[in-house]
Amino acid sequence: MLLTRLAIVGNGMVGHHLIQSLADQGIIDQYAITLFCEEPQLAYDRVNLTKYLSGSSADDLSLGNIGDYERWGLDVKLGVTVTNIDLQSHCVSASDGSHTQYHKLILATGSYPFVPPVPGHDLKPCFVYRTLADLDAIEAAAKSAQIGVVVGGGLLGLEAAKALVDLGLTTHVVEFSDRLMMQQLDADGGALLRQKITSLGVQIHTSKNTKSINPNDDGGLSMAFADGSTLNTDLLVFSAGIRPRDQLARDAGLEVGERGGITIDDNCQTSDADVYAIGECALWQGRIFGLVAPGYQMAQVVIGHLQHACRPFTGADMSTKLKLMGVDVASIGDAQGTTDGARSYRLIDERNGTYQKLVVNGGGNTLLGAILVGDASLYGELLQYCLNGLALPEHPETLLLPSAGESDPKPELPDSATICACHNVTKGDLCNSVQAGHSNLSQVKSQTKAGTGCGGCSPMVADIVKTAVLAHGGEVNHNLCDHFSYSRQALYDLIRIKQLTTFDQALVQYGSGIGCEICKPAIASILASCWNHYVLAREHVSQQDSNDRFLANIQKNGTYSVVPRVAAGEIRPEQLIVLGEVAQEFNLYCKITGGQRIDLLGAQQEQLPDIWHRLIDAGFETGQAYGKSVRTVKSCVGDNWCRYGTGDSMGLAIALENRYKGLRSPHKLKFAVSGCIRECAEARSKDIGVIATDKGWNLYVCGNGGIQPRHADLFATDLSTETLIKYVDRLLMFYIKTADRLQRTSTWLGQLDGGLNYLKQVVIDDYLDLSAEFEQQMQHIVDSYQCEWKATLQDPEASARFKPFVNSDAKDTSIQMHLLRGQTSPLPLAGRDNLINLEQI
Amino acid sequence: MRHSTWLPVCNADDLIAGAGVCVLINQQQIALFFEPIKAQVYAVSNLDPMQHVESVSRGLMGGSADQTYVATPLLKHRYELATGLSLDGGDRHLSCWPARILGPVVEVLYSPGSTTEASYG
Repeated sequence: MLLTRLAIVGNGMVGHHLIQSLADQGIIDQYAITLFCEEPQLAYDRVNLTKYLSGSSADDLSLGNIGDYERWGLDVKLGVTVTNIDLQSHCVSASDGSHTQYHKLILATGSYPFVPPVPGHDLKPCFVYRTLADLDAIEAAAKSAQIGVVVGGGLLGLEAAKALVDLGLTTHVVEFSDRLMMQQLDADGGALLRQKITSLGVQIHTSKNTKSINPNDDGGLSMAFADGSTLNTDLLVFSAGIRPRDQLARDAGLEVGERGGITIDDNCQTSDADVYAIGECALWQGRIFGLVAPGYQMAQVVIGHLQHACRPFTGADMSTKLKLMGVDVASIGDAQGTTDGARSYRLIDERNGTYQKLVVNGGGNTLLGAILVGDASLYGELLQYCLNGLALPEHPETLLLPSAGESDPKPELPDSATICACHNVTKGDLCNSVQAGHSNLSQVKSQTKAGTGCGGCSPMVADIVKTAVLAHGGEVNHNLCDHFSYSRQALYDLIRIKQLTTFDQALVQYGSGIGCEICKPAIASILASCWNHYVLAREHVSQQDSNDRFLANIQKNGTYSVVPRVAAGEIRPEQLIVLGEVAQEFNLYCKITGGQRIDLLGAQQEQLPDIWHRLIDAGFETGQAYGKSVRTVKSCVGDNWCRYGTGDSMGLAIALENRYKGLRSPHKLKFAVSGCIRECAEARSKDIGVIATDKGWNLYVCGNGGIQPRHADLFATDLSTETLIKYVDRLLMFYIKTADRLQRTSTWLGQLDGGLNYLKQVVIDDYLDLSAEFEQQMQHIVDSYQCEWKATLQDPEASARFKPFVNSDAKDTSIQMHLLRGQTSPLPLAGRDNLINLEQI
Repeated sequence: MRHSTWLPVCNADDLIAGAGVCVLINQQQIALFFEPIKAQVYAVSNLDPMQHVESVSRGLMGGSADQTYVATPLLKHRYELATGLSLDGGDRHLSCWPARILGPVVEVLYSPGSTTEASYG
């Protein structure tokens, strides 16, 4: 395949974003790229340039990495300036004497600082504020300076002033217009910002027209203004706006705007279809976009166009939020209220030093713009109102003063709402990321890149992720139910510490009412996890969930299924025969389960004790398939039989199943052990998964199949059997102690502060000093194990509860069965027959 | 005109505090729930009206001082025991009968051949 030859001129933030995106999208190897980077280092975070003077190094700010660029196959020309573009011959000439042919050329040349042409502007201690090199020069000059002046009171000028303050200079800001940040703020907002910045020791001079800059005798400068006043300084920084760097394009004959900027269309193509321009050098519909987010959007437009997938540029939102010398400032949409019929709400809080302004349409139902100074916490919410045209509350001022009116619920954003404009991430993208299993903010941010551009959307991203995570498994209110104003974890601690042994004790001491279908089984489960008492004892029976109460799994027609334990799926022929005989005698339907055991379905309530008599006589135990408890330990045959096996998976699986059988927990627990790396037992889909290695066992934890599949995380490697069991003891008891009700280990881990590393600290490093306690608690469960069915058959009162009627020895004749494929099955209700007719397939 | 009579149906000892049992009366399965704090017994039809399975007596009891309900064992649909009405907005309901504990005996006000589901109005 012939590679497309791309020449990219400029490696600022936008130029870098283009390259990074090509790599992220896996299409960078379709291109032979030559990159011209004028500065001696690759792209860096210019938005945060001031941090360079307050402790960040060039490395901290760097975005482009030469190693990555080379790995991606780029020909990087560092410190090389392009001198000429020949559109005719598709050739770029550069300062290193090279001539590079291209199929497509991308100009990302950015902008340069505007320096007003006043006499003396080129004197020695005059600087601009744009590059790392500029900052190095300012820093060097500041060493012998006391006073510094910034010309320009806009956003960049104030950033530069911050830099001079950080360098220890007495700092002045000289602004031509009558207020600071005149592009973004109105008079009141500008006045408050001025007041705040003045109080930080910066002297502000507005409405100052600099006439000339003159050298002083002492090597400093004297500025003369049109109003006759003067100002002495040791150094001067021009930060009076930026201009597009379009000279190269201009010389090449590309169309440029009257006031500068390389003209582009919706595809970011210049007047030559093989040349694109993106970022601050580009002029779209007469506008220059001096922010990084629109530049990133343009880069995506170009990639789309190169890939023949049209995603036209449709303009960009210029709202901004930033912190200037510690002062929050934000400006959204039509902040000045220039739209026809626009009306505003303004709140000046002189005590707290905040200014908030809403600009609404004439009808008062749509937000056109906003200004926030001193407190920009409303930025995210207001921006969403503005960008998505959300209907405002009836009294829009309640947005500024929530307690002043009826509190309106926060608007529910549509999934299509753009949250992070820098990386074009929508609310839907964030929610999908959480759905996909990214359960904390940092994971979601690293997967979606949301909040990693300008960072303005970070609070909103955090909010959405929190909501999505909660909606996904957690609960906002952690109270167990209406009867207990405690979380499950708190109730577990209370029951253990106060040594409560019955539901009634817990209800009297910590609850109210008579309990319900939520708290009864939850507390019954906690009691069983702590004390392991017989669950059908008189004081416990009324709280057991439907299945636990009859020690079997209720089916849709009211009959039950019976699943004896077959540890690790190992079963002797005579046991198989007994299962077959029992199934025949009681007319039960047989099915092999996913947990490597045998399910006998269709047993009526009153048959259960008789069935279990037969099974227990043959040496079976309850399989507890009905409980929120340890189910099975699935296994492959392991190295006893398998020619690939590296460990005795059968032996370990049987040992694990026998150790943990009978353990009740917040939700069911599934284990598996694989005898080698081929993983035939699918251990990584289990709560506890073990895979044999040639040195021992690798332990995987918190995996899940089911609704939300999740691969288990590797927890520890090459463990001895003894250590493995210690870790499993501790981990399971920690889970039982801290999980919510009906929370599987995978979601539990997802919501655990500190995640997997914290879990390792607790279990492996004994960070909480609870390991001995956990092991002892587990040992109690192991030692107090009893087969619940055996106990039931020995207890006449419990056995009697399986009779269908307390006043009669009659059988329940309401259940109707029929034959299906040679076995008994529930007779479908009329009109609910979904059976597949095998003969028709 | 119904001729309802208080019919002894089982012993008070047969009830389970905070849970249900089932009695068979004239081939009708009736679930009896016992709420020990108020010493109140409730009699409702055992047939789950959504799942069409005789199973209500195997459900879990729940509620507060003024409202006691059963959550069915199959899909946890909730019905108020005093009225039989659905608490989950369903239009199906349980039939119910007045019931009482008289000394050692549980009695249900029962009229042969009919379910007195009009007892709640």
